Amino acid sequence: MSRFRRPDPHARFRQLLAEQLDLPLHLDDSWQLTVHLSRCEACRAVEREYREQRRALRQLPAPPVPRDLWARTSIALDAEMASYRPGRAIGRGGSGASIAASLAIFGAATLLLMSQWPLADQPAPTRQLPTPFAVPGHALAFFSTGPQGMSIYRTSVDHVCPVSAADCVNEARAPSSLALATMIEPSSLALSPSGRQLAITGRDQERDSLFAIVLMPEPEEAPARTPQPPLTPPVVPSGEPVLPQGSPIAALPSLDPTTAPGLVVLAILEDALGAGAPAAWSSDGLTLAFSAMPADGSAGPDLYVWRPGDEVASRLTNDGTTYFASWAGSRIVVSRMLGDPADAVPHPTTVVIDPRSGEQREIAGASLWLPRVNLAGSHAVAWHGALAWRGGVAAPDSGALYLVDWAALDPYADPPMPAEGEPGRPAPTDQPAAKPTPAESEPVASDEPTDEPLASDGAMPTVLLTLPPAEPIPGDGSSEPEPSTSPAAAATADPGSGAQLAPIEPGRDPSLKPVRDWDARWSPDGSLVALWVADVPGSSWGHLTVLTLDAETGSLAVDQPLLGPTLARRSFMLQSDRLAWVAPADENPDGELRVSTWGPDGFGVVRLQAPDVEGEIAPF
Amino acid sequence: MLSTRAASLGVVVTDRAAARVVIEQLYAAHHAEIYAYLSRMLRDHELAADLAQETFVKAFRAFDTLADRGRARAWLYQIAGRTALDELRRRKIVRFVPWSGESRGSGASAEEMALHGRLSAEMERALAQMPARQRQALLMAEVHELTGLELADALGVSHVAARALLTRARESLRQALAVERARTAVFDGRRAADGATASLPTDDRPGADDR
Repeated sequence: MSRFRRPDPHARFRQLLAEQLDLPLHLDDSWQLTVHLSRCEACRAVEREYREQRRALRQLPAPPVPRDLWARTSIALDAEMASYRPGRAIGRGGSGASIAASLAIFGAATLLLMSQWPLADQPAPTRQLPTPFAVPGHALAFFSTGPQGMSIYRTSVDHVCPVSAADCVNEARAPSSLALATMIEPSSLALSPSGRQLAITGRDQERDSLFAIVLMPEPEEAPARTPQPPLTPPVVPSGEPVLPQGSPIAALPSLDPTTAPGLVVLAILEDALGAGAPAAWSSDGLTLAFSAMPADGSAGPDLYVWRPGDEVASRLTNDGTTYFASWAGSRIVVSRMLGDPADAVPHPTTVVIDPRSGEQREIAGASLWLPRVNLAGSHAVAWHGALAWRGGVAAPDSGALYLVDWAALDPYADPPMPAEGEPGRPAPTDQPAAKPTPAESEPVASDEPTDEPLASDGAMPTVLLTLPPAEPIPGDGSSEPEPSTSPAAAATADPGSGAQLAPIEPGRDPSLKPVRDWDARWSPDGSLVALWVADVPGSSWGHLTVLTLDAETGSLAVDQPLLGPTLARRSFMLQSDRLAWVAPADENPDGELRVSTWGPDGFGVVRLQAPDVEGEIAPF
Repeated sequence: MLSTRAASLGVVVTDRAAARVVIEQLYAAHHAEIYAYLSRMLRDHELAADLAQETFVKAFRAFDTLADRGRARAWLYQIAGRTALDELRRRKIVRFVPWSGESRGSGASAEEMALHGRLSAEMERALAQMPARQRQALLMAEVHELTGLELADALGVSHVAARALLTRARESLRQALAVERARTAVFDGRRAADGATASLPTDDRPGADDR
């Protein structure tokens, strides 16, 4: 018996059989294999097995992806970003500081607003789309810094597609547009409720910082539009058209921005940098509030207001430590620094200002940062933690977002009734502010410093919220704080007052992953809040989540977000039945505009694309 | 514009935020197949989810190694594959598919398995017997339909070597399937004879994944 195994004469042909599944064989090999197969049943069986094997493998259904895979991956990426150190650069160059600065500028142009103004009649060019369904119509506008300069576009959304229709795109290839006569690089936009004034914070073509108002025309004043050829309406499987004429799913008629008349732009404050929350209009649309500081850094931020008819904005405070937070009814909520501005660590307090009387009431003990109060005045979202000085202004360093029972904190919530005829009686917060008379609309504060302490009459509540002082992260911020100094661990509701201070992200450990940049917007009815959170200050991208406020319990359904968390640009707009936001897109590195809706017909979404709009999208 | 640079990927990407944007775009495009690939490699859905997450974090860390977005898919598979192999080697994972008693021609069982997106028990056990490297190649080529160049990229070998590995993998699977079918036939025969809850002894040959 030989010690050597005889070579398998079929092995070479089995190899050829396997190889031919991937690429055509050489002619010689192919001929030899054909000849061999014609007389070898075993190899023919192998050929069949290979083909069955391939078919079986290719028919394997994909395992369902765990629903939390994105959430956990996102968290891991957040942690990776949070643990970033300059020495561990991603990419090939660029310092963290310069990157943050660049992003701050870059992110400035992605802004989103939504208006309620009626749209002029629109023709109904449409495209082939997944079967959409109707939702209540809302006007939508956006701001673009494309190759044609800066333009304002108007469109509307009253049809969306099921969320399963990933390719449901509204190619608003020609939305109505209005050219902006002045080149402004915006960092924030705020459209008045009437849709007539658009407040812009940004830089002009000279790179000077300014606050400006764009006076918007009435919709009927919009210039005539160039008719567009009708497009094929979408069809349902039965072939029936489903979109009515005039559907905003279709592209709006074209208007060449270069031929449109320039809009009037009114500079209301120049050489000033924004600080605090973005500028916001009062609910009656009669007052714009914001905080700003001299661009040369010679002073800290103060509160300003502007009313239609004013030439310039009026300063309401003169302390250099006031940061606009939000409106609470007809009053303005600000965060103000306590102590010496030279202190290494800024400590905030919360103050409510009546812009008509100038009265100011401090909420003692509430070291909240920029609380955003809902229109109902019932709740607020605020950041709480350790602030740090960044670029001469206070900024979040180590902390998190919390839901606040604003009704319990509002110093104007239950004021004593002053004697009849006594001046200064504050208006109830649940009533819209009366339209100011010309005299009332004048600024009430002078430029002279005021040494008067904050108003502290009998209406001021006692300490409603007791919070241990938040400790800063020791050192340069790169080391981990002690667990005991974690704002999340320290922040508790005051059992005596019942005031709520509930962490919005229970799973988030602020000591490991602090919220360093954020925005929050409430829906008009106060039942929803959209939170945008970034781990990196000045980031143009962050995570957007829409949460529902339980009216009975006064808590946010943090475990069951209505939408998100999803990657989104800083700009977004929340209504009671929809969210407009800018999502990442392969087609446009600056992202694409999306509108997600919810209602009786379920969730819907539509992607708005305007092929003639390139570059940064700044919608409103 | 930073994000433009990030998205084109033909130019230097200079910041983490832009890198993250691209990684999240890649996640949106490829997470399902990466997860499926890892599930089939590891035969453990929970572990696959962990490693899918790890794959994208590693991709973020190694973002500067991605010079051409056209190769991003293969690049992700390469990261996922290495992550899976590392885990298999670290844990010496030899998982055996529990015997569920199904036999060939059992329609209900096949339907159920299809519903759950799983391999047939025979195929799954056969894949488990293959060397991990061969299993990688076969899954990438046949299930996830990577092109020849993508496969070579993902495996980190030449195109010729990738083809050779794939050829060996096909033969390994064919032989392993034959063994599994024979075992199934034996089990069916025993069950018919015993008429009770016979169980197929698991194959305890170690090291299948280490070869």
